[in-house]
Amino acid sequence: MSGASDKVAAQIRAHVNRARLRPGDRLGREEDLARQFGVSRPTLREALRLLASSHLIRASKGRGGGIFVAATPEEGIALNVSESVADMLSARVIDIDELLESRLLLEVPIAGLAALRADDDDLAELRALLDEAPENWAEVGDNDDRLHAVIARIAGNRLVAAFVQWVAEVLQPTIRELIEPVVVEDVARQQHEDIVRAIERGDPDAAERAMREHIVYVQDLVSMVRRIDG
Amino acid sequence: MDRVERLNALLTAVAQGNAFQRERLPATRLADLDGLAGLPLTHKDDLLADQAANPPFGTNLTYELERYTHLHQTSGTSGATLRVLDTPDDWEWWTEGLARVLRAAGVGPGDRVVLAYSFGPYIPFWATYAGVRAVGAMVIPLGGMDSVQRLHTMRDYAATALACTPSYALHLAQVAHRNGLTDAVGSVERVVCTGEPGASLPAVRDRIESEWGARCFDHAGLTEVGPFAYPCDAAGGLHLAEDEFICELLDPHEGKPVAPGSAGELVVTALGRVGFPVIRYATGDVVDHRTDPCPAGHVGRWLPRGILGRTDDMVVIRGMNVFPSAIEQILRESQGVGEFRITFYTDPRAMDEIKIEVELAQPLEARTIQARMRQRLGLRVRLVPVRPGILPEQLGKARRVEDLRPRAAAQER
Repeated sequence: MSGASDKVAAQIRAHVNRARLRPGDRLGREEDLARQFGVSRPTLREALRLLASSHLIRASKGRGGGIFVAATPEEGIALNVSESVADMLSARVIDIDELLESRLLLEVPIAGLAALRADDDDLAELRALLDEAPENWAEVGDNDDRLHAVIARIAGNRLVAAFVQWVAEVLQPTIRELIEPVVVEDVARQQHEDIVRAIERGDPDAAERAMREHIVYVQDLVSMVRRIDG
Repeated sequence: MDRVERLNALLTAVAQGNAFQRERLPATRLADLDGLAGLPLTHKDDLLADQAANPPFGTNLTYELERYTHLHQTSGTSGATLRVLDTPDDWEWWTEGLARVLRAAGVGPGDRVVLAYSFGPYIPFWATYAGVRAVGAMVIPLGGMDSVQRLHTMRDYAATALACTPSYALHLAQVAHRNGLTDAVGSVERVVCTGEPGASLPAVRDRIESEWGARCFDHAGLTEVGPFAYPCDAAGGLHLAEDEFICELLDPHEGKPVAPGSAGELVVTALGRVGFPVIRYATGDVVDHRTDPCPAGHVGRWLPRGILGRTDDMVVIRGMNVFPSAIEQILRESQGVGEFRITFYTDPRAMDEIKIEVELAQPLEARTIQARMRQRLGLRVRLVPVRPGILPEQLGKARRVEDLRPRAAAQER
């Protein structure tokens, strides 16, 4: 049965893409889908379970209920990765240092690509985010996450953008709390400014350098906090 | 008696009674000071090894033990503790050396000098105590008190001069500001520093002077050597007390004299200390070799930059000689710089690097600091700005440097 349900899950995914369905669009009721894809209800249910565990669909009961698209494939991947990273972190099979190092491996080249690929709208969006950045560290979280996410989107590689989303979802809330007592907000802000400026200039080397400096600063603060706390 | 005669008198006295020196020195008299270069260097390790083999005082004693009246020991910040004995004559010589330091700093009758050193067998406290008495000023010891008690005492007695390490002078001013004890700061006119290079670094000196509203003076010496440098009140920095010490500047690795314009290790022979003599003693202090006199024409070579650092502090990073004191100087040139911590490390590509954690009250100084480091050290540093008040405060002989390079352990003597 699992072979058949895998196949149906793939067909449903292909259908979503072909029909350009967006999150929130309705796929239909279970019985409609079973008929549409020519499989038994149990096989269909197993396929839907697979898709739901990948965050791609959700079921809703009652009037107007049925099966809905929950996320784009990239969003699905992103959610999966975030979930796995969170699990690994809480089970301590991976540590903060490795996650920070992963940020370097992902986000430094992302910044370089963004500098090569940003258009005027992208630049306006980045500039607006910088202008809106709150003064207070306790409130910067959302702005910080959005800035990094927009840069990842501008880099134009959806797979990589999906792979990096865990940073905002899993890592950053912990990190921000950890370094809150020591970080110099203006320095972090200046580093964001440097990254955006390099992207504005279309200078990938400078963008990579600035991103590296920014993440290394966070690494250094984390290791210092750890040392001071003993 | 000129210096050659004094040196020969010292060698003669030492040759008779001092077992440690007798083995090392020739029996002949020296015709001139150049002859000194033929004598072996003495390192602290030599004295330590002798004391380990002949506990507790070793054999560098010219007289029988009953003649000695003063015991001091080194603090052990850079290794094992060395014990040093003085006779009444030698202690008199020490006292006169400190008196000269204090006179050069303008301390005299009518002054009230507080000594912000801990009690204990460490020489800065006791030598300064003796020196203050010798110049006719009032001595007020502050051992065994915390910083606030010290400030209260200074306020109550309207202290006019403060003797301490440069780090402590900065710390005490901060404690005064935090606790509203600025009137304890107000009466002080002179801050006389030793124990660390800081007070000859213009940026550190300027900060001490502005925090205290006082003039800051530097002096230098070693427990096992004597007070070999006194402050230049005319143009800043230090003078080597070359009437009492024969001073050589040698390359620490090759042992040869360094050329004017470069820096070398100060090697001294103390002419006036007979009971526990040091002859061609490698101090570990690195100073500039300069030949120009100070504007006021004081006695002895002028060291406008003071002690640059310790030979054992000097690190070589990608071919550049780096002293932590030079890094401190650059940091202190910026406004709002607080505590800091320097780490030398080797990155995964086997490149030696410098990381500096520094408290910054004015965050945008970070750029300026980085640019200055690049310009003056010839190196890019990894600067980690942190919020003021985060790093543990370092007092006394401050330990703000950590060397994590795998090769560092092998380089130590």
